[in-house]
Amino acid sequence: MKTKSSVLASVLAWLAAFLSIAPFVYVLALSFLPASGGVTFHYYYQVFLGTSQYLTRFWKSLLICLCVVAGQLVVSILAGYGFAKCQFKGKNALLFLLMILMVLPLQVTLAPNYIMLDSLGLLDTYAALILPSIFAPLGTFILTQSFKSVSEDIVDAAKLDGCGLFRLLVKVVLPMNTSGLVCVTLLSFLDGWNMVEQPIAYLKDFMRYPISVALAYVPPADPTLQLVCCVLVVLPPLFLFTYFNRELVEGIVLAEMK
Amino acid sequence: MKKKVLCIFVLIFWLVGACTFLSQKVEKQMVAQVITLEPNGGMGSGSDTLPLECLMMGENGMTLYSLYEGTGWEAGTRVQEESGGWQIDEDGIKLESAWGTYVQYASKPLKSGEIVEQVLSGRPQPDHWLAVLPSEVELNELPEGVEIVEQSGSAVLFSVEKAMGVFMEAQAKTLIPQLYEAKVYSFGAMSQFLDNFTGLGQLLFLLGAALALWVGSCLFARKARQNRAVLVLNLAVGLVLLACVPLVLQSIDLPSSLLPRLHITDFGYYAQEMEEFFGSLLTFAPEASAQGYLAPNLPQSQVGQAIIQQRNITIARPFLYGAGGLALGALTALGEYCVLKVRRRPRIK
Repeated sequence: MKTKSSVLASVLAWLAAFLSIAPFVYVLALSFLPASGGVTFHYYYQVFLGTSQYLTRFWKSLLICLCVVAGQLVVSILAGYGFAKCQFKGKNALLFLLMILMVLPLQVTLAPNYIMLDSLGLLDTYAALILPSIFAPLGTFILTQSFKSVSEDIVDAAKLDGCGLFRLLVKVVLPMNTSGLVCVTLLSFLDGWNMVEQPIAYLKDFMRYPISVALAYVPPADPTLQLVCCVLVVLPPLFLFTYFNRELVEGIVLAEMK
Repeated sequence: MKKKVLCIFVLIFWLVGACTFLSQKVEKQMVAQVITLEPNGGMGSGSDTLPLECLMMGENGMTLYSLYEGTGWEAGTRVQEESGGWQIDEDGIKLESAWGTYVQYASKPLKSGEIVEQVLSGRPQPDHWLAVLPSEVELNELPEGVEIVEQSGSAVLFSVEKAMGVFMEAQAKTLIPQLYEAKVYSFGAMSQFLDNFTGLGQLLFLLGAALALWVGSCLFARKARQNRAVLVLNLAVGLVLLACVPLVLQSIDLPSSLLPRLHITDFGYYAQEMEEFFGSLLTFAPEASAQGYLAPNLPQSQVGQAIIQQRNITIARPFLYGAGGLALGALTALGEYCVLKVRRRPRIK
């Protein structure tokens, strides 16, 4: 009976894996097969050599994402440590507010952010994409949960040994929470890489659009070109997921267990 | 698993980085250069007539191209076929509306929607043109400043005193109408093309060195902890090589008239063009019996001999440089391996 159920489970797992990977395989296969028939590298030439538009936009998007990730890590580490290890008035209320913010759909915060960015004169700049993303609450939530796993005794011992806050974070707390950090890095990177609504709302100049938005405007005369762009777009997330997959799973499991 | 993923993606991102620099250059190089005309000198009132040379062979037969500004992904000055609004009469092409900018000459065949660069005729300079003819043509009345240097059954070498700065075949055919059916090459453009073989070789050198270093690094990555210093060094060298790509690309400037219509990597096209050009040049060479069988098979004109010599000197450079890059990268990796081996040798105190 146990064998039967394990076989069924593995079949279901394989089926789920196949269904997950099928769209990517489909995109990859069709990127070599144009509507006119045959196998061609013409569209790869178009995207990777024929014009610099796609690749420069790709690097710009990557730069935006790196800024988002760096900013969000700093904010999340400091805020997460504060929520997890510091005692102050209204902590629970603030954490509750953070969780409410986390469940709010993006579209709800779009208009207030637009008004704020407009009054700051940041509309139609990359800062309009980077700044709001830095303060996304998910990273703080994950790291709060992650930092709670660090024993108070260890923190106290480090303090007794003369560690300041910065040193305590860098030398003690962060090395013990690498999976949480990787998880935040990946999720914030994906948030930045896949952003669509924010660029459309905050940017006017098409040339500033990141590749996630510009992809939709690829000349639709031949869809194969769009598929090759999809292959280009999938490269950074694919790298991050294949490289950090173990830490990602651990990080999410850790956050769920708390 | 992590090491393999890192190795593969380092190469992928290096190549994507190199492609970014290359694509910027290719984009500039593949832009067709055009000389344009505005009816009524741009005043734009009433109908006007364009010269017949504005008609070009398009996808749907002879057509007239006008310029427009694209937006979004298609930003930039582009050409479009004018499907209506014009007709041919004895004076030329009669336009119904005198608005717009029309292409008179293009450095290569145009395609609707293609991005183009408007150029001026440039300062006239002396050049030589090689015309490859499908059949023998009478060339009695040549325009002023154009002389025949050498002639054989299927090819004619002209000396042109005042050629345009940017060579355009259609413009050459307008100057010498007898060449209407011929394929015309510019010696200036061919010489410029051959000059770029050194730059192309340097590019292949960078690619070869980076690839060899990458293979070496993948081998070192098996013991990543022990070889960390070497891996970091190789990564730094790889980044330096990547930074050298735009520097090398600056020195490359291929003539638009010798580039293929669609893909700059269409090597068959280049081989065909060079074969036709140099094959036709060799038809000027005297019979082997007339100059001794061991004498080199060369045309008599100095300019013909010079360009063949230039080809012989430069043709192998890309291959040599590429192989040199591979060898240097491999040697560097081997050197690093030897250094590590010597350093880790057990020492007896």
